[in-house]
Amino acid sequence: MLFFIVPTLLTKHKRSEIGLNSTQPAFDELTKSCHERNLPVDAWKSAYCLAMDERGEHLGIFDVNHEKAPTLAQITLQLTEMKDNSNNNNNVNIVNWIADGLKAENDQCVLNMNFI
Amino acid sequence: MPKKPTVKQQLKIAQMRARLGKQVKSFLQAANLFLPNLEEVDLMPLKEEIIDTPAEETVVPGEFDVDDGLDDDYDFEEQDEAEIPSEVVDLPLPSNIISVEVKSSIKSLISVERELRKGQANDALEGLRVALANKSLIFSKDVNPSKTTKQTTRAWDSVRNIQSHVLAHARSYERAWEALNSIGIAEDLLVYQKLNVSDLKTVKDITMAKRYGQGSDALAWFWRIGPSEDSITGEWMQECKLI
Repeated sequence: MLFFIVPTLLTKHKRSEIGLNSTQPAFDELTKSCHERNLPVDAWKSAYCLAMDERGEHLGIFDVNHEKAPTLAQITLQLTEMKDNSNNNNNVNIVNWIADGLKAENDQCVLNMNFI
Repeated sequence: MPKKPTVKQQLKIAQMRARLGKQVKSFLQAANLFLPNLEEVDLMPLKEEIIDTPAEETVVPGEFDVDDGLDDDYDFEEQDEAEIPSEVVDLPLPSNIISVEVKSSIKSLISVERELRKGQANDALEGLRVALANKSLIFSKDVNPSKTTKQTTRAWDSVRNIQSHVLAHARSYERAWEALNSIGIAEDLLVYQKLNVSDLKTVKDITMAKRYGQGSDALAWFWRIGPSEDSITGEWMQECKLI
């Protein structure tokens, strides 16, 4: 079985060498330009090493810094907490009532879709 | 729903209708606490949802399952023959109220609904993006390479299934947009634009990567929206700009 893996691994190794050679100059240029602009390259390197050693949450350094738009659940919770702090129970009920209305409206649509 | 539904299908619809009936009933009862007395003319009639798949990509959508999170306490209350079916009842949500006088007296309700509708729109757009990408992937990985009748049938079943999700999310967004159009401000409509049929096309960057004319193709507007720049912690983006 291992016999069959060897050529595959060799091919992969060869490809990765080609990839490294072709991207190395561009990567070096990028590092150089980062140093010129006083960007925290050393901090990035240490964060990378830490991620490689510790894994877990430290791998977050590789995440794209993308924040999703708030969901209906998040907004409902936020409004409920906000209205909750106003010490007026009626305000909390308003949020729940409208959220229930949206749910009922959605279910009306689902039911109508199933009738088509 | 087929022309001659099976008993199982009829039962499912009856269960859905019973559940919806309960939801609508409790919503209407609670409405008396928050809203002044409304006449029928004060409410916008339920609109027929028109958004559909682009004509060149038409497939019959599969049956869309109702949210599994709903309570399973099917309680078959006998429905009065003269009663309006719950799926066509006009819900007195603030955005459905057309009376200017009533609207001016429920500003706090309107502001709450506006925020919730934005959440609904965000959810629908996220679902739409996932469903369209999924559909494209099914075309690329299942439909195109299928060689036998069995494989083709299964692949197109998956397409029909995902198509129902695309339509459900598109219609959910349409409802949110209509509501924002009625109660939102101009800024909301800059972010949340009207959804067109052509926006529901499969993503060709997945199905036909490296195709002729790809450079001039543009994805629909909702693939490019996100939180405003102010809401993003600008630190990393700043680093990118400097590079």
